[in-house]
Amino acid sequence: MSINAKAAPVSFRNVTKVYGKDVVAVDDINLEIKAGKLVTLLGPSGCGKTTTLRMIAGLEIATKGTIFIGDQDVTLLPATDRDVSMVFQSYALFPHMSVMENVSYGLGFSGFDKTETRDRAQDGLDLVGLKGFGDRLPSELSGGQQQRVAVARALVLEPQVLLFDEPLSNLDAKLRRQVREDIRDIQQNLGLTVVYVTHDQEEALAVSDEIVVMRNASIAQVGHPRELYDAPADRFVADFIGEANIIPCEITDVQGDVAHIRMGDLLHRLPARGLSQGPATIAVRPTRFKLDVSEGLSMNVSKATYVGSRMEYTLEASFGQVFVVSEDVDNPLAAGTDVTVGLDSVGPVLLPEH
Amino acid sequence: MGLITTVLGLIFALVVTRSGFRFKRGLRALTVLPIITPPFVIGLALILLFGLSGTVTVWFSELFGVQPTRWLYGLPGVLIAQTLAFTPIAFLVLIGVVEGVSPSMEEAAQTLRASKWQVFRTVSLPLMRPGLANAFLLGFIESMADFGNPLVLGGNFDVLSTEIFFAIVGAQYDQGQAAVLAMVLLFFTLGAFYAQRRWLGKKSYTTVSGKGDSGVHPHMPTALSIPVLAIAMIWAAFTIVVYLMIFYGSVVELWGVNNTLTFKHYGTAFSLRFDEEGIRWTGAAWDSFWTTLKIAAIAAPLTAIVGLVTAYLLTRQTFAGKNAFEFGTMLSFAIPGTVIGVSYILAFNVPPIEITGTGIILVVSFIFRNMPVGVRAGIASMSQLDKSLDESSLTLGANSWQTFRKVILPLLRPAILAALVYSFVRAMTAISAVIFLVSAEYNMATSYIIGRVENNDYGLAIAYSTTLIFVMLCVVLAMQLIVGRTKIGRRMTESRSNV
Repeated sequence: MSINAKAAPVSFRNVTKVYGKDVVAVDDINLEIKAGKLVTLLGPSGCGKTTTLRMIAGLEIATKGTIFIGDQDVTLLPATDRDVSMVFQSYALFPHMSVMENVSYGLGFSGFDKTETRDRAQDGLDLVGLKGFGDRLPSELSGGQQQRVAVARALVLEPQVLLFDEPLSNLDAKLRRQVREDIRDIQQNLGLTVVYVTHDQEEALAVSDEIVVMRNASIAQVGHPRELYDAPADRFVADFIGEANIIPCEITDVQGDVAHIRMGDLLHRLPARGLSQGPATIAVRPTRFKLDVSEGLSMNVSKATYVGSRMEYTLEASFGQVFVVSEDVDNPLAAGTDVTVGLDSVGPVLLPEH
Repeated sequence: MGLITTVLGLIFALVVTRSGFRFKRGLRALTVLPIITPPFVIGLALILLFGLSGTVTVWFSELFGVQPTRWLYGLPGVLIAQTLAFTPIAFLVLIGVVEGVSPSMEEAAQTLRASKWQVFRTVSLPLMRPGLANAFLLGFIESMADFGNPLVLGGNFDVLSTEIFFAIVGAQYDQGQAAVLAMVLLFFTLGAFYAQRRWLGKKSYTTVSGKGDSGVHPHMPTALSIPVLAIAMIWAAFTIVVYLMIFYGSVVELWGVNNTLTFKHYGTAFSLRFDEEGIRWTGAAWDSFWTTLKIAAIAAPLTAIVGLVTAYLLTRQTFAGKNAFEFGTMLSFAIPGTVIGVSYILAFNVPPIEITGTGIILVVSFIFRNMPVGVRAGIASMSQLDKSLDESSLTLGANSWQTFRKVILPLLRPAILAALVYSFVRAMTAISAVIFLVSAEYNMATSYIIGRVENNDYGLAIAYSTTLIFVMLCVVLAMQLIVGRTKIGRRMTESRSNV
């Protein structure tokens, strides 16, 4: 395989992007992306993730702050001169060029001679499994194949950083899983630095070395997938990454880093995360409840839905509604029945208050 | 000709969409002008500027002591007039095209290390090819069919369309020769049509996926933007001068000889007298003016109806030969008006349908000539109306007539108005087909004006043209008010770019 990586780290220092006069798309963010890692920018629409990506590409120029790729300050460098390439959400394949011409496009501007351009483009197509498709037009390919052409076109330039802007959003559900695995494989095999934008939390959890959760133009939390899922920094992250029930509770006692909490009649122990005695909130994943236990919170089943592999319940509690998922499909609870609910020993997490 | 207007049109489209230029709206407004200007008026204005006793000529000859020449009459004059008249049409087509190039294509090229100039050359320009071809074809056909400007400025320089005219109305009165020349003209335009198809080939130019194009168009490369902006400015200034001339020319006594201001020409054309019987229309132009208005007013709704019904057939029904039918409706746009005029005379001069010289023939020719716009506008908006809309209305208990009236019709309103405005305006400014079809009883404004020009009565001709421009401006504005904020210009772009 002749395609190598020249992976470089990316670093944002106090970067702000303002559109027009006062639309702040990105507000004073600091971000370190390590070389050879796949980092996901995750967040709801309008949170600034795409703007951040476009600033790495050079398609937007930061209003304030500095951006480094490797050792080079690229803040003011236009896209053409940056050693970065990008896979667009719409793929942006040139419809008037064949697949081969598309993949060769960037190589032609990078000082390779004709034979080398052709060889490299060929290698790129081989890498994404499109050997023999070079003469087709993009319109003659399926969505998944077009996607791979877009990846090949970006890869063959051996960029310091490879950018993906919601690459899976135009693919159907079954293809998504496979393509995201392919992207992850290529990234790991070649050791590429990849920045990946998505609003799909499952996609982010599946492919990332690190996830940057963004909200309202700033960074909400940075961490490994597991870290974000198990120890969300706040209510927003807890709810955005996987679903979470946010439940009020009372910290009765803190011993070392273990907190004792009480919710009604239910007592529980969990990591204190630096909190002290007093009212607090916990986040509980729908799978982390125990149904029909001897001691716990009494709730009423208001909805019970069978979805094949599991049961989904909406429970009415004194503090509001709770969404619970149960693996036990053989003994479903009927709507209207009362049930006593407990918590798993691992999983529920206290949310630091802000 | 097609080439010049295409290049200029592209320049304008680039200025409007790809530069930080501040007077974009003014530039866009300029594009409405030629649509409401009778085509030969530009020629008239050029005579006022550069003709034997034109302002510039006189000023120039006084300054340098050069003898005024007749350089304008002939190829140069026709070329300039047509450039001025048809560039905005190319612009209208191309502005949609330039905006239609997906921004992420260009961004992708940038991230692939292409410089701005390389992006423009290898991605933007090739993707504009269908639009460029359309604009070229349009310019080519309009130029071939243009009748007024060569007539006014041609001198001894004869073009096909004027030859055809003289073959019919001249001393020779040879319909056969006219028909042969019309065939030649038709052959050329269809040849251009075919060449366009060939050039586009079977390559695909549409963006593969429509979703998620949130990028912004990059500005033009600097090397390109400076000349482009300069040319656009010069052209715009020139156009403004030309239109000022038209207005000014209508209020002077006798151009170049007696420059006193007067409303005499308006008086001759549009004088009124009040007596006990009411208003007496004594002006010389009233006859043709009312005829024109009447015929335009009859033709416009009919054109819109025929166009929309055709569009309905093409989008909602399937039948054998549908593609051929669609192609046929577009063809009537590609055929020069001169050819249509001749063929109508030949076809309807003899029984069973003997309508030459009546108002009906004018209405009929307008309907068929302008129908494609109605069809295009109709197709564009009807294909956006999902069939489920009809169906949901039907399941809610409405019958098909009620469905059409309550659901389809209101949603088609913009398309209907576009077709109405366009066919009305075209009916008022058309000359090429009309000039063969008018008669003493049913004289149209444009052919009346041409008649004045041939008698060197420029003052009256220009005064009349100014009035026409003004009337149509009012109509267009009124229509625009009714449609609300949707732009007529934009819709015309869509409908015309599909020729």
